[in-house]
Amino acid sequence: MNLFEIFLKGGVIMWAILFCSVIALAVAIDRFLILRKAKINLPAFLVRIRGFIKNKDMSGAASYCLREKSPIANMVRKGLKKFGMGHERVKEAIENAGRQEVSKLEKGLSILATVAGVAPLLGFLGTVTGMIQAFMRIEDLAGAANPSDLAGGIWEALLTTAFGLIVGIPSYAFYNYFISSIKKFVSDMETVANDVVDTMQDSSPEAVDLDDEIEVEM
Amino acid sequence: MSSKKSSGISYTISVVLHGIAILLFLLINLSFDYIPSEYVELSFGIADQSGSSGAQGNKINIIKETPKQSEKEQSKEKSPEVKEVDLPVAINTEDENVIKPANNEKEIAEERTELNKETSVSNSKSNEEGNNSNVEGNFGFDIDWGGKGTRKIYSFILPQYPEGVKKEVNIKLQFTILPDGTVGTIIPKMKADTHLENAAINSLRQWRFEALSSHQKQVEQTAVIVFPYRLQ
Repeated sequence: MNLFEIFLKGGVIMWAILFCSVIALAVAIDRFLILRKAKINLPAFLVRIRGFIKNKDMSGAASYCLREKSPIANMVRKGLKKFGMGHERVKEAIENAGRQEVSKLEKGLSILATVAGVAPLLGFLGTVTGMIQAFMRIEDLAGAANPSDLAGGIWEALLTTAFGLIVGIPSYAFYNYFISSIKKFVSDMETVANDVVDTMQDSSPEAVDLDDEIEVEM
Repeated sequence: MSSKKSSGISYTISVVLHGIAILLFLLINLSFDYIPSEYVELSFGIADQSGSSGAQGNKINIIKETPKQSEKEQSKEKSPEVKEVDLPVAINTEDENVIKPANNEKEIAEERTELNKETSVSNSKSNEEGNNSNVEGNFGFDIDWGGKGTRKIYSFILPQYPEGVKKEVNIKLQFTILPDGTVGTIIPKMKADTHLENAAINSLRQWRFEALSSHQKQVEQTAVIVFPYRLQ
């Protein structure tokens, strides 16, 4: 008996779990790619942006951000567009863009969480229905069922639970992994946003005096 | 656009990976070959006079771990299962190897032979029963391996009732079946008459079981056999 035949013995529920598995893996791969793309060399990026802002080279900064193609760069670019409209507007724009970027990063994670929860439950459902069938069969055999009849029904029923857990456990692990890396990413974004806003404030005409001081500090 | 593109790619990768997994599933074969259990009990004849294997005429029980309790239960359930047991070799060899009751009269009680006759009638459609249908009053036996793999008995010799002993006891021996089918060490499990014990051990030494096939784990199988000695 090959593994696929064993898989088929699990019944319809197995296909539902397989579908869950396909979706979960797709989401996991997708998130993995997106998060890998989103990663940038943060200190280098900050240094470059600060340089552009201090030189008041907003278009240069914007094109640099465009080249970086990271959610952080996108967020900064949105803020840079509002440069000259007051710090409040810049801050607002950056916050807004940040939220958007985070929601983009989190897209699909709810699917992963759902699969992590639902796949084992589907497995249990399969087991319960399998057990019901097994016991119905014993009743049909009027108690003359031999242990192998019983065992046959039960191991087939248990297959769905096993498969559900096989799908559910990695999904849950992936979900937690992505959630934690997105958290880290969000904190990075906050750092950048604060830094950019501060730098803009510092380099604006009112704060020119303080500029040198900051330069020394750095 | 890029996120849509990447999600498309990842869905494709996911489907492909699952396809590969299914192909692997198709390639991986799981064999449920029974690896002989560590502990096996063979019960022979009427154990404890409670109408177990012997009374059914043709049963040897193989019971894992809890031999004592399930022995009786199994003997009750035997009749429906008898048909599923396949013992072709035993059928062929038994007549040659068995010491027929004509030679060891003391060994077989009359009531047992009667029972054997009865069961041989009821079991006559199934050809896997022991030799009881051919030879009147013989120790018929049949093996219930609990639906798992089997160690066929190729040849066996029943113990002779030694002269000068007048006891009705069960001799319980633990022994190992070597991978080649021969009997290894024999250890008496219950203290009983030494003469009967020796007779049982001597006969058990000559038993031959099915050798393990090459793809099975070459392990020694531990079994327990009960010889019920009954006076005529």
